[in-house]
Amino acid sequence: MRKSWLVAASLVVVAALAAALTGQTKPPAAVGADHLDAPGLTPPGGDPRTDITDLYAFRAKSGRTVLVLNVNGLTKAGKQASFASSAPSVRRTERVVYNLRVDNDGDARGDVKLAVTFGRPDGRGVQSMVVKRNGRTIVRGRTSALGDVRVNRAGGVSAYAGMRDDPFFFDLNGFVNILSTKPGESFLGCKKPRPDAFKGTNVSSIVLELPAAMLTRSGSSAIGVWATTNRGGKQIDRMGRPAIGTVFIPNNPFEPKGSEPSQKNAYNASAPATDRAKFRGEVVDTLRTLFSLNDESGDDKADDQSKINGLADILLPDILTFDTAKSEGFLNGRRLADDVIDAELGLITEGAATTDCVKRNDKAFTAAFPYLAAPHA
Amino acid sequence: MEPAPAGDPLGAGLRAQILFRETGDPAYLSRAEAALDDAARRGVEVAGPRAVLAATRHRFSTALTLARHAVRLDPYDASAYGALGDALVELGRYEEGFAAYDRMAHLSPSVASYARVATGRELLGRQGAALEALQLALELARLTPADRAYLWVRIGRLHQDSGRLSPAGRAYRTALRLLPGYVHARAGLATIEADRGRYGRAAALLRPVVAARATTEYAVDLGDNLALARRAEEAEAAYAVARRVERSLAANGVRTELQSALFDLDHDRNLQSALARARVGQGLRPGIEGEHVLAWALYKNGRCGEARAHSIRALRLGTKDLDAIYHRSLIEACLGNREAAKAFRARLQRLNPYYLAAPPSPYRLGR
Repeated sequence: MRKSWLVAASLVVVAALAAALTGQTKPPAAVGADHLDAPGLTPPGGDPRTDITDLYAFRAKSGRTVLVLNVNGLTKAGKQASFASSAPSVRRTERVVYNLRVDNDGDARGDVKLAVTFGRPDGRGVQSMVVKRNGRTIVRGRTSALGDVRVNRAGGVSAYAGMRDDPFFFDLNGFVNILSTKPGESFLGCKKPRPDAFKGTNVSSIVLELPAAMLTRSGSSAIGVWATTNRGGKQIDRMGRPAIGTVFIPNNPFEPKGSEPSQKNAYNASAPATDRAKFRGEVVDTLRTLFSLNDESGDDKADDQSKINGLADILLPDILTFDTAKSEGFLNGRRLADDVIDAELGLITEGAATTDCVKRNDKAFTAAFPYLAAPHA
Repeated sequence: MEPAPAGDPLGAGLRAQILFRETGDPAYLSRAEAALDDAARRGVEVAGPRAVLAATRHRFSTALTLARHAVRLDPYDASAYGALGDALVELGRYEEGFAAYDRMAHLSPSVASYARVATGRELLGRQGAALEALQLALELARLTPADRAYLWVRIGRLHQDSGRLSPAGRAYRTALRLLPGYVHARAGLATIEADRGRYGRAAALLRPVVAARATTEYAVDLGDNLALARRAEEAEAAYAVARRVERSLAANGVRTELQSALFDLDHDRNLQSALARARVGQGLRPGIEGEHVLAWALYKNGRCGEARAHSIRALRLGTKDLDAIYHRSLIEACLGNREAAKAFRARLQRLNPYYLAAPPSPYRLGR
């Protein structure tokens, strides 16, 4: 066949034009616990499959530890999204890896790495999956087709991957418009229930349940957890506590678009160990804005700075701290039903805002593994 | 074209470019230009779409300038890197072009970016790796049948280029199931018939393709198959269609020197003027395709030493470009390098055992 690549090159352009026309390259603007957290509210790496939406860590009834990493935020009901297997560049193909990183000695550096990789989806969208702990395979299995629950078990570890209802609940629009003075736009001062922006949407979920001893060091049940997605050696996204990147790292609703360069990519690519050095200033700046919300109602401003400093040191490094021996939730790890937004709001606004008036998820969680509710069909 | 929505000249400009791709009617290029000019007058930023339009018109230096501008305006705009990479690749600046493709794929894993990665891999002669990139693109296109059809045609061409006709046929038929009537898939099935030596059947399949999408490539393919089936008069009619389309392309701003030179060289016509056009075309498109056509033109005009220098450059990336390899074997034979000529023919035979059954014109001026 002749000149195939010449014709092919011209065909490629169509795809680019179509994308420009339909706006495919720019997903709908939204932010969540960590949804779409790259500059311009796009998914980090431009790929919803590697855009971490949420991270959970809690103690199962059995005493084992459950870790949940969600991607593919805002997937529509009935749609089977996939996990990324690998990503090509012209000269090489790089593996995509979903990581749960665990610090068990309090130095904000990873001591245990649980790495999950996927194969190509088959006709039903089912993929092979491998879970490794510090480089050694601990579970091999397959993802679940939409609506199925396939639990892969080996050596005391259970692993699930597939579509689930997005367990996160939050009045997203009320947050984006938090400083708006128009009635009903911001959730500040809300009394009546407000809409959960994630109602009716699904995520692709990785759920691992494993003996805490696989994560802790001897003599301590305390760990710190964060999630990353990686393409080859490059980190695409990361998340520890909910909404830290979204709320504090520019641009955010308190620092309008264009007011300063976005640092979201830098944040997504960096490690918790350097968080204080790199991002403490931004956290302090935003906390100052938030702490001023209650100034008019007679707050004593004198102690604000010391409170802000103390809080900044809790929020950074961005790690989800969790005592694997304890069942209580956020700020001890994060359970699915924890109203993390209300908990954080009270903290970061000095009590000026205590709730977004979204109290629970749109679907009930299940008592058994994989705990997240079935996906919207 | 559907009437442009009032107040959306940018949308109209993009739509006209898509319609050009879908129909092959060059008039859409002028309409796209007018719409983009209109958008620019209204203060809309159109560097990216203008870069794509310039590349479509084979004005790659202009495309490069515009694409660079688009990238500066928005360093996170994946499609701007696509336009940048396309321009650089056509200008023969492959490493920079591949870096732009990589950047595009990193910013936005998509059918458009992975397909370009596949193109880069094909240019480097890595057919298996190109196939892998297309399969990864299929993962991203799970829910868009038109994108899947496009990717299956690319997969079919990779197989066909490598002489794997059965998998190629399956790929084209898959594309047709996804997008009934898809002309590129129908053209693929027709060329498989040609590879099998069934020229009459290939022509019968190509005729409705050309009726639906009169591109120069498909019209020339139709003519060639008719000629091989010894239907010279009908072949000339098909070539006339190709020339008409080419004139229309030129009238709508497309630089057609390289294509028209290649047609004449493949069909032993106007060889001196073809050489002049090849030189102009190579200047506009100094990548390996320009080098290849210029080498072919020099050879056809009996200047085999110069031809060899350009042929070496045409094959410098290791591209498995069957025509370029074939022409190189002729050039080596012309220079009396019988061993080299034999080696290139043997390589061709290994790459695609069907190719030498009906290669483009083997004749030289004066024979």
